[in-house]
Amino acid sequence: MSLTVEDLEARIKLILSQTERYAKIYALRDPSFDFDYRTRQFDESSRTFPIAAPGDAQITNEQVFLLRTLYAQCDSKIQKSFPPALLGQLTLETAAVVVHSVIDIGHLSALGKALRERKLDPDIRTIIWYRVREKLAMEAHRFTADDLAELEALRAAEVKRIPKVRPPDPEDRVIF
Amino acid sequence: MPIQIPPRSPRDQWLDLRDVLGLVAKTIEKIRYLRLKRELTEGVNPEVNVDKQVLISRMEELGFRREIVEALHDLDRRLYEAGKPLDFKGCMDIARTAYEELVEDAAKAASSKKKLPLPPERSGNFQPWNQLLMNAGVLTGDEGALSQKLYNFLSNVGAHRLGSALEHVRVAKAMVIELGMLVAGRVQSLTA
Repeated sequence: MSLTVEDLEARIKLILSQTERYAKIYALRDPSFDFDYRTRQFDESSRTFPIAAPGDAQITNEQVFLLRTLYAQCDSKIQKSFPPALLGQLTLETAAVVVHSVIDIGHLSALGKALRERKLDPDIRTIIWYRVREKLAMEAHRFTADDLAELEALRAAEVKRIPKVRPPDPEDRVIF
Repeated sequence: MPIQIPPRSPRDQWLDLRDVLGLVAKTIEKIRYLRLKRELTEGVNPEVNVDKQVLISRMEELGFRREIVEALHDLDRRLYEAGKPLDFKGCMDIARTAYEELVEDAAKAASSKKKLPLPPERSGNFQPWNQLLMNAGVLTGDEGALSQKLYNFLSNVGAHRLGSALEHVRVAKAMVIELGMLVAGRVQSLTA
């Protein structure tokens, strides 16, 4: 497919216009793997979230599928522009699809570059890392030992970026 | 009246990020643990796992039934959980089924490319399809005989004994993947 970088950016933007913050990415063989980001973000059950075996989780998100297809159809020169064009569209609404797509096309390092170099607010960073974790849990077989080491280094750098914040006082906590 | 949700404070946002980064660390640790466990309990053969991915992509390109890919994944999953001879027997059953179905789909694809007739219905689960692959020039006589012997091995060790051993399953998995890759690759390059 012969596209210009501008065409590519326009297509990526159009695809991402149809996604949402809590986009469902996978269909799961075992329903116990499923969790809803809106209600189970940081509870105890998500801490013990299992690692899916190969084939347990299949990507069914349409926008991730379309972005992968678009990437595969680009010639190698335009493919180089794909990760920055994709990450250029990173927002709260698109982060889920952007993270899954950029890892699927084999450009984890581009995500790392965005985390290191761009001024992203903590909410976007949280969603990015939440989706990275989702990918790790659902498709662990995709990550080589080097990928895991790269993620660990990125994570350590991210921890250093967090300002020293005091955990909530007991009296600040809402008791249900 | 709509409920107003107050915006979260920057401190809460950073705390959420710190929380999720903690979960990422735990997930990476768990993946490494599972890989080490697998390495210690069943040994590692990275080449076979790479070849499995090649085989899967070839089967997808050829339009083989999705269930065959599922069976290969299922084999890994069962092997990971297996501990007793009966569990390994179950793995052998899956390996045999995956190979049998793979050969059937490969023979159908080859027959379509070479305009060869399909074997009559109920003529057998494996041998007629294996023969068709030889007739289509996908397998040589020696390779066809090896393929048949592999199927016999999978059937005998998997079905006719009370249990199988881990070594049997590892041999079966490696041979099914490697021979399957050879068959699928040859069918891909077959010209009408």
